[in-house]
Amino acid sequence: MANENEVVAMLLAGGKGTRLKDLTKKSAKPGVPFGGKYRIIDFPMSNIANSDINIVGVMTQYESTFLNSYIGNGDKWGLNGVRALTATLTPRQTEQGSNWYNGTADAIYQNIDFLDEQNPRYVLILSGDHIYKMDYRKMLSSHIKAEADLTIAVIDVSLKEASRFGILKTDENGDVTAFIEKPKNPPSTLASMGIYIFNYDVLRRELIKDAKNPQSNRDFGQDIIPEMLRNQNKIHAYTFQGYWKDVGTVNSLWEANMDLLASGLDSEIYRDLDGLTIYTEDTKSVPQYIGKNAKVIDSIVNQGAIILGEVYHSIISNEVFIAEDATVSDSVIMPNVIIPEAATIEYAIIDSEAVLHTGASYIGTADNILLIHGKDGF
Amino acid sequence: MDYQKVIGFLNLHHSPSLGPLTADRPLASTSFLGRYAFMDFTLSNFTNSRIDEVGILIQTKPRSILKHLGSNNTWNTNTKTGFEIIMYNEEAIGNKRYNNDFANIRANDWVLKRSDADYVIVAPAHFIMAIDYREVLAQHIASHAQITLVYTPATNARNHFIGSDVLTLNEEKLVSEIRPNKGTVNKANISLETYVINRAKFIELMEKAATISSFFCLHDIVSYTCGTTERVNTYAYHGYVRCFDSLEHYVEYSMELLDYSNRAKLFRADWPIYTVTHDTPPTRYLPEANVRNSFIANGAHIQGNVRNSIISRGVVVGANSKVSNAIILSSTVIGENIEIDHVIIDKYCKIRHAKSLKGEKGKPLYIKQGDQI
Repeated sequence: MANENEVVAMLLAGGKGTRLKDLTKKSAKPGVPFGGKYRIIDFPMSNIANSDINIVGVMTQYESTFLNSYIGNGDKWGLNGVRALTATLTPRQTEQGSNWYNGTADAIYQNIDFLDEQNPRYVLILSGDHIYKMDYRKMLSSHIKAEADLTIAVIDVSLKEASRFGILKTDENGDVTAFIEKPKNPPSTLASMGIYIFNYDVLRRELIKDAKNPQSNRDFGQDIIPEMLRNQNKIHAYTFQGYWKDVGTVNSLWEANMDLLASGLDSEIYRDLDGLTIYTEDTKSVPQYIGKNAKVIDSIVNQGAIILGEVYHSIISNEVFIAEDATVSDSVIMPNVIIPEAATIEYAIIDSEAVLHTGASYIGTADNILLIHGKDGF
Repeated sequence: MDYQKVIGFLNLHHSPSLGPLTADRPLASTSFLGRYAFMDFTLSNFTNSRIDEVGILIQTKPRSILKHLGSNNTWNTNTKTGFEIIMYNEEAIGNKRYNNDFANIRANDWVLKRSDADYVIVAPAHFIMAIDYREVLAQHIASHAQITLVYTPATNARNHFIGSDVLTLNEEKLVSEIRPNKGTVNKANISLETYVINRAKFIELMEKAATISSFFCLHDIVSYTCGTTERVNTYAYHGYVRCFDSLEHYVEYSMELLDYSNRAKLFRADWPIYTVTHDTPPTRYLPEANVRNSFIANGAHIQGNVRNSIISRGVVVGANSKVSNAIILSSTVIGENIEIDHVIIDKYCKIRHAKSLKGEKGKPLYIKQGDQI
């Protein structure tokens, strides 16, 4: 079937996010709330929508019940129009048997049938781990202009940080000459964002080749890309400029939330820059009410929140209730939490299921954010 | 209870005026509590009562209603089997007397025809309440009634519900007379202009009305025939209800909801009020923000002082500004060092140069949409 849609986006949303500990015990990382109103997956999905890409396959796996319902038919991001398709792709049984996704490349490999049916020219591969706003059309233009087989989006990081990332070396044309995962002595500061645009025919060929290799870890960074480099495929680097934050640990999730309060203005993430709005579920909330003796200072508060106590430099989600004499500072309060009377919350993330106690203190530090989840509000 | 097929009509043909607030827009799409339009409440009542076929009877000035509804199915549970149809009778626009609910339904007769509903429920937008129409329908059916009119046994009719209808009820609780409330007594049965009517009877009333007068609407035929040729059953609604019938009441009833005890009666966990989303980011309170006893909507940007006010979507309150006892509608920008007290400011205004805008309690100062001051 000839496909008028040039690009299909494939979003890897299957990971457990072990470093987010109890936040992801019962639900996958892309479903974790962020910024008082959003879920992490809203960022790649909104970016896809804003890039006029209308066919999306979302690969979920770990504890995917909530996430699968949340993704639904894509209507939260408008990806359900006449020429659009949002397909939730979970591992499934086929004539070949059944298997989990065993790596980023394997996840795409197992969905070659979906891609064949969509028959795109290009495949955009993303993961749902980062907070950022991007119009992928710019990256696509760069890819087409460079006549590359693969384009990797990169971002300039500090030398100190570089050893945490996959680092790329490029020549004067922007072509990638080397790719090293987590190098001890980084040869450059260009970090891979894990965002790839492949020509589909190239991707398809490489995935099938890689699947036949029993030594392979079935991973783009570890296997597919190094193999393509060895065979001198044309790999181009597209440099992204803007805010990009990993939210893989409790501390980095907290930092990313706090970054929203950084400048005096709305942060880049919230401001409607270049029409890049972040879309999300609209909660059935009551009006946000600030009480007679409340204080809300330097914070972000979503609809449905009722604040009778004091809030400083914090992110308050929808349907949060903060009782009188309670104080919340430098913290992230997830949806539906009740902060009881005289409780003190500092440098903490309070998860949706948490049960807190009247008058109790929940205090972390900037380097060690306290996470209160589920039944452990003791 | 057996499943009943119902079609709902949101009747905007009798909306009262809210003074300058409704000079250029219908009451139905007028902003309420910073993030709703009045029509959201009746539409949500239909949704929560599992009435999924809804016709919206627009009398006039459809633009802001169409803007609010857009191409959404915000209140539909199933977007194929349910519908949310805008019904507008442009032929009657030039003729106010002819432009009534019956004329609208006749002009758009395909709506009723496409529905196989057995019951018609007609409700207005200007009575704000949370009502389960299924309870009304159950009582209507149990009473073997053909027409049921919902009312509230008010105890404050001297100062509220002025201009609304007072019902005189006989021993069987049927309506014997309908006349306007002149505020003479506090205790009065106030019509909520909400009707449950068997479909065949509804069509019969429409046809009968036309034979009596071309100007006759639903309200008129019921008033004319109650106590004589028609048995008009009644259902007493005892919950929270306010009639938005003037600018003064708009302010009074909005501010009243700042009180938790009032809010709890209207906003119930089991009865959500749905509205159209604008994908606005959450509210930003800057380090200098000082807000008390107020509703603040998403997208608002607060740097100054806000007291006892309602701040709508996307409003900016600049540094050192003081807003009190005010209702600020969406996207209005209030600059720095400005004092605003007892004021209603409509949408898209820019208040920059005025140092002070003050009205009086009970007599708010009103600033028109789009004004730059």
